[in-house]
Amino acid sequence: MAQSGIQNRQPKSRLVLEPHQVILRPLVTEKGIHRSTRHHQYAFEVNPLADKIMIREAIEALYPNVVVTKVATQNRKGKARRYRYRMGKTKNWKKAIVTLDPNHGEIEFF
Amino acid sequence: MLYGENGFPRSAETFTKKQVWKMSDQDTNQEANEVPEEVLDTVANDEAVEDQVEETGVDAEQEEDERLDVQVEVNEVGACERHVIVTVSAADIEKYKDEAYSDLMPKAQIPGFRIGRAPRKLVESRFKSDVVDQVKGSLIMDAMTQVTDEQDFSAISEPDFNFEAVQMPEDGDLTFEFNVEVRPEFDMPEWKGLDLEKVVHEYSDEEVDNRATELLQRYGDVEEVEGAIEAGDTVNVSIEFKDGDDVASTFSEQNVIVRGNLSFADGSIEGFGDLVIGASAGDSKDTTAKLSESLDDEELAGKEYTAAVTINSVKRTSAPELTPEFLQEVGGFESEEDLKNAVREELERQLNYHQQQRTRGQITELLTAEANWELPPQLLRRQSQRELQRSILELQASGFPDEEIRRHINRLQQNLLGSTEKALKEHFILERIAEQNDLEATPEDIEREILIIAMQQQTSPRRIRAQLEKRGDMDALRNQIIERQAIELITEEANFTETDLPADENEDTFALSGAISGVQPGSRPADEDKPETEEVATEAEAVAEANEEAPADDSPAEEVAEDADTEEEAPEA
Repeated sequence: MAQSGIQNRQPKSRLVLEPHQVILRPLVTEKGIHRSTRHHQYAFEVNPLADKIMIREAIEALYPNVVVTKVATQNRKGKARRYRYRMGKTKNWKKAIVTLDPNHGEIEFF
Repeated sequence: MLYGENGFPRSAETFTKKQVWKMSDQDTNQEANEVPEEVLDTVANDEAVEDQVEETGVDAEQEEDERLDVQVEVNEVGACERHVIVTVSAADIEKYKDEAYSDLMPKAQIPGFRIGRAPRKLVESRFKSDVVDQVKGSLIMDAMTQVTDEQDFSAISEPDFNFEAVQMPEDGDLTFEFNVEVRPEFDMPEWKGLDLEKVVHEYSDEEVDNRATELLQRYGDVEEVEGAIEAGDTVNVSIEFKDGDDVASTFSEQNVIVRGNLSFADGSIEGFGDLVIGASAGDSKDTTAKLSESLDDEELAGKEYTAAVTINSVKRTSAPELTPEFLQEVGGFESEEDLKNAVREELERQLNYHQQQRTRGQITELLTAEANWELPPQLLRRQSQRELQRSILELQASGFPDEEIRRHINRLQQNLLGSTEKALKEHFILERIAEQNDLEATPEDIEREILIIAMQQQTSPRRIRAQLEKRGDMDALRNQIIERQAIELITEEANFTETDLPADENEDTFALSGAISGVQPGSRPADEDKPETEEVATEAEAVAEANEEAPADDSPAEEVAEDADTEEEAPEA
């Protein structure tokens, strides 16, 4: 019997991640500050395995009084790095831009 | 204001992307609130206004800055010491912090932000420890300056202030404390119309002759003598000082002129003359040496050592014949008369020094008679080196030979604290007099002083100046000039009675610069051991010195012995 809704969404292999494992770090940048003051959007580096739903849950768990209205994610390819004559690569990572409901709380990065 | 979905403005007002960034910064920064809304509309106006805001901000701060709200509590610890507790109000701390962050804002580099674009809050949290340190520094500095300005004590030392120990409170007032040494407060003794004695002396031909003979002795023939030692011979000795079985110090192969006593940096062998006179080369003698009672180091003061003196060789000098060639060679003298005039001149110059010293001694005596205020020992200890330096400078300027200066140092070091105390009191009194009468050392005065020392030492004034500056003795020199001016002032106001130069009260002493205990009193070591023998002064030096208007030479014969009192010397008659 197919289950629906977030609570019931329990696929067979669903990864269980703690909130702090989902949200790796906030991205504190000029652009981020701009977005947060204008659009209530906050950027984070997140676990590449995390999906938008997990991110939403994690944010709401980590920052009390916050309501997430939207999560946008981007998978960032690692950059090519050369070490001597060998090519290396920085790791791929995932960025999430979380939009909060302005009627509720805000996130303070610093 | 209107923005498109991509974050760019979409209104009739023409914003560039850059300006939007700027506005966003200003939103996050507190300052932005002060900028009127409409001027943001054009790019050109924008920056000008920012400048304006900054300027007015700075002006306002400077005006407020004038005084800090500090509370000072001064406790008297001793006559010359004050314990000061300073409390700076929290408002001032805030103001300083605010200023520091404002300064920092345009320069702050934080990853993720262009320089100066980071929001203030972030800057504050990021640079907190730096800024707090910096604020602490400037706050304490300013508070101290203000305290010293407001309080009417005049400090003579740097406050013993432990910067690390001061904790910057999270909020609330900042309190710090320190000790500072101040000029003692004392009742100014009456210095006008003192009754002083003036030393006068007319040198007889005989005295001049004697002196000349002594001076010329180093050009005389030197012979090794086999027989018994007589007073005035030069003996080459090795001395070993022992404390029980431990060897305290050894002096090997020192050339010593046989006189009554032999002095060292920290003590002397009394009756050295009696010990060796009559002995001959190869003999060994045992005696005791005693360290001075008033040594700085209490453990060593008055201690006795056994001294084993071995006489290696004996030399005797005979006076040279005064042929015209010889006179010419010595210093370009035309005749014997010429030489004698030069000698007389030198004697008179030294008499002049003694006059000054004596006047000064008397003035000090009279002025400090009532000065029974106490000086803290730490102060004495610290000032003692400076004092030593000062008297050396003075001797140098008067053209005394190295040997004599060294002997003087020896004696001073032996009674460093006692003489320093006296000198310091004198210094304070003279300084006060100088202050009251607006006496000051002008650059020309200093220049002249340096020139005089340079002339006496046969080096260039530049080198002397460099030396003084390197050793930090310029202050000593300046003080010396001021004090001399004060003395002159007192002298002008004093009533003089003339007395003859006190007769030969010589302490019959030859000085070596090493220390018996092996520990040099004071930190500054005396000059290199330079035993004074006929070999030391080369002919070239001798000629040069003799040419000098005031010949200062290293001759052992030119011994001006001193009486036991400090700075009281009388030339050997």
